[in-house]
Amino acid sequence: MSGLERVVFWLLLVAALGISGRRFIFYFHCIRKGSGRLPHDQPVRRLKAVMIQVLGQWPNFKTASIKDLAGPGHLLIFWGAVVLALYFVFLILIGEGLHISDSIRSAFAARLLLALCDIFLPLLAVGMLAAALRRSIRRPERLGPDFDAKLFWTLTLSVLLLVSCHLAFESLRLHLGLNPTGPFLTRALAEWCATLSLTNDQAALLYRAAFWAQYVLALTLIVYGTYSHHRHPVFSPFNIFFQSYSSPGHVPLVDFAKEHRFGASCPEELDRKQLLDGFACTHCGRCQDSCPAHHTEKPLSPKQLITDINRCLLANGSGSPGLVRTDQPSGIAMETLLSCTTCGACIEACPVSNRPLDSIIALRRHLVYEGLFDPGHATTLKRISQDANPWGMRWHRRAQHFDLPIARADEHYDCIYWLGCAAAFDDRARRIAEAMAAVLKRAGLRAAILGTAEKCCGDAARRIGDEGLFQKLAMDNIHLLNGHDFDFILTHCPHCFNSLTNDYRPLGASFRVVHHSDVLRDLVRSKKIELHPAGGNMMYHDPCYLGRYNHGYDAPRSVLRAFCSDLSEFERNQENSFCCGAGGGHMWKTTEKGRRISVARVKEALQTGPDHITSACPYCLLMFEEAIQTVAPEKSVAVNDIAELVQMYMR
Amino acid sequence: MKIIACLKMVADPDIAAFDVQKNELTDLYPVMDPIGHQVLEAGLQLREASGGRLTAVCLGDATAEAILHYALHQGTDAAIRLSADELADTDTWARAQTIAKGLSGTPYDLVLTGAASADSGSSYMPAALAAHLTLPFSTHIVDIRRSESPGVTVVKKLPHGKRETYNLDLPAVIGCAPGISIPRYVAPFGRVYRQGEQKAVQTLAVELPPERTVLTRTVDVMASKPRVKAGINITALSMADRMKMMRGELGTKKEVFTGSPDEAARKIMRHAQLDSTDK
Repeated sequence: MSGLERVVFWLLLVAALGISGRRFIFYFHCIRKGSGRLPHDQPVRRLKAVMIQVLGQWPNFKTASIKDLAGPGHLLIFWGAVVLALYFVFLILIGEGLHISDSIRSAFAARLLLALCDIFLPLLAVGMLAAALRRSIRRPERLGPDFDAKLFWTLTLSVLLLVSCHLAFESLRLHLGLNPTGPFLTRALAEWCATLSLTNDQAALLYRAAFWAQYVLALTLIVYGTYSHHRHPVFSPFNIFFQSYSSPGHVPLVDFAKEHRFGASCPEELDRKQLLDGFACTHCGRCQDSCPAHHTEKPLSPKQLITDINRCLLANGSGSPGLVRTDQPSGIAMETLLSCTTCGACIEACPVSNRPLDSIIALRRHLVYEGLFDPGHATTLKRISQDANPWGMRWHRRAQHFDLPIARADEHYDCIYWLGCAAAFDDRARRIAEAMAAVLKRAGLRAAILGTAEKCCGDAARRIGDEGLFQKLAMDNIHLLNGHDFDFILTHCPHCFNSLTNDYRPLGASFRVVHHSDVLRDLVRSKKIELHPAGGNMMYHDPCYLGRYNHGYDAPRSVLRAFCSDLSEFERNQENSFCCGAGGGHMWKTTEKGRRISVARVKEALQTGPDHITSACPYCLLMFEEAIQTVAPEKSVAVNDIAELVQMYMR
Repeated sequence: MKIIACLKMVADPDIAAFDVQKNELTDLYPVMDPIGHQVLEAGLQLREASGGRLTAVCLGDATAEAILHYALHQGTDAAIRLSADELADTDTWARAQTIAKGLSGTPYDLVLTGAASADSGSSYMPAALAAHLTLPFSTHIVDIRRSESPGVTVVKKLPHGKRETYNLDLPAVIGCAPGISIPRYVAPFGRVYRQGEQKAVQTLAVELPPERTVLTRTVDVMASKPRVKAGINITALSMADRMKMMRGELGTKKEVFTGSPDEAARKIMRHAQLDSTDK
């Protein structure tokens, strides 16, 4: 490079890094506006997660299939970009910029890097081309709704041009004798250049043109990336490092004595991790693709929600407009927030550890604070508030004439059977509890219920966003349970299980809570109950609050396998399970857009024609029974809880 | 418009039971009279529509403050407990007299009460209160709107579902019937709740007039007849119907046939025949 060229080289670099750097500082300040601190405990575990999720690209493979090869494609792009970035820093910026190219290139590491470039840069080009073709031909729905194909093609062509310029630069360098040797592809191209009968001047001119072209293109891509969602390569590793390790349904407590208001009305009232999510989002749409609300045409896309929050954060210089659209044209619609079933599928699917559900709960809390409710939710919360159950029954009718004694404070019990509102009031759900009571009696466990003293666990209230009502119920229940002597609390409802286990702990509860699937498994294993073999095919549905929230995948299957030899799975099962549509207060919501989630799930089951659909949650059971009557009343598919089946096949 | 919502504390009518042995009411859980929720909501809606001030008033001892705090949390501007001695042996007429005296220092355009309470259900509190305040009144009202002419337009519920609409000059007393409003839900620690927390319940001691008149006295209380719903296939019901049934809004009335087996069987057969004829 001549003196003038060197000046231009550094000026361009300073300009590009200045523009990008300024923008990144702005992003940094935006994230700092959030409340709280980024979680950073367990640093080794976090570093390991970064290695697996970023370097290993594991989340992209987790969701890969023959139909969806986007994950492996991203691996090519990721490693191609990494190698290209290393090449750019060491051989262009340092080598060419400081005019020490010859000494650097003689090092083994540089030769290795050049060899890697020959392998990965063509793969990067292939990956980009495949991604662009996929976006133009297959047009995956999950990339929508505001995906710009033209912009992606521009980006792809820029990368292809950059790779071409790189190969031209390296091969001409070899051709001109500036390098003694080169890796295989560069060597082959240099040999091809020799056949073109270029003069030395022509080759030198082309060499300089290729150098400047790749340099300018690389700087342009850096600046473009900073201003577009392709900034995610910078933010994603941080987002993965600072990820939350709490269960998907974890909701932070509000200290009403200290905090006058609750919920988030603007981006600044979200926490820093929630704000970082927006910068790390890759716009891949996996969250949207796994979202039951989105699948059934409800106005919710977790991806859109994250980007809307980010857009709102970036749009305001001083004083943010409201995030939730009530009387303003922009922002997130209330119906969008209320469409979430809190199933946690979006969290499971996200390759960069985003948690859209956390933001949804924070925004829902704001709605509740302002007194904005879905009519069904308002009625339900009123019922819970007055009678401690969402069913609308008077509290004194809870668990009437139940075949277990009411717990006395002066007696010891093996377990307190926490019935939950569904079994306490709904005649169908009650059969689960009756079956479980029969099993407990057979097994000789000394169990008791709490009768009318038990109150709603508060799950629905909390997921709707009514933290005040939840805490009131939780404190009453904790006080009640503290007054009894028992080994563990048994419940068949995953919502109660999650509340008693995870939600009550920060309020001072330290009970041992066991889901009935675990108890049944232990009783079967210890042969305290013996079962007849059952005929017919059984298909098990994973309740979100048992599976994703509490990793209860094996126990119910183990129970079913004890008597059923023909146990089948839904197409979407375990971590990828599809919600029944009842969670997050959806059971009580009146105004619903789109198709019904429960019907979609039942249709998925009916494709394979099971004799039984089984679950381990009263809400799933009620939703499926109703859906079957709606979608296929003529089909004799029974819906049962695992406890009912155990009682049915008990010797 | 300055509105006063008169609220009452009663024993929870769904839970209170009658002990036949002791000849007294048991399981008395004090709650706000169910119609009081709708009175309060009607007052809130009227204030929101036409501006002004809503004050909740309750006659009773310190336990009544719970419902006044509830009213403040719901969004009323003020809450007054009228405290009077010797309320135990009084009837609606005497209580109306006490409330009227208690309201003498509070400005108002409209006084809302329930048309009939869940405990005594005498239905004449609006009339008695209007008489003591010497105001016009209307009762069994299911809708109140601010009219263009001075006063309010009210819709009265008549037998057989008929409705009558007329204007009422202010100030006036209105007895609200069930259905006048759907009470809103205010979340604990929400914006409105927090505003209510800042306000205190004012206590006003009212001296009962020595010449107060008690027109009626309770001489006996009897247990109610049970109503049980049955005869429905639960699994064939939608969620909405199932919940209706749970709340007693769906289903047939269960009857208990007593007597000797032959006699009971004859009654069942007769009932079944009547049932099929109805269908």
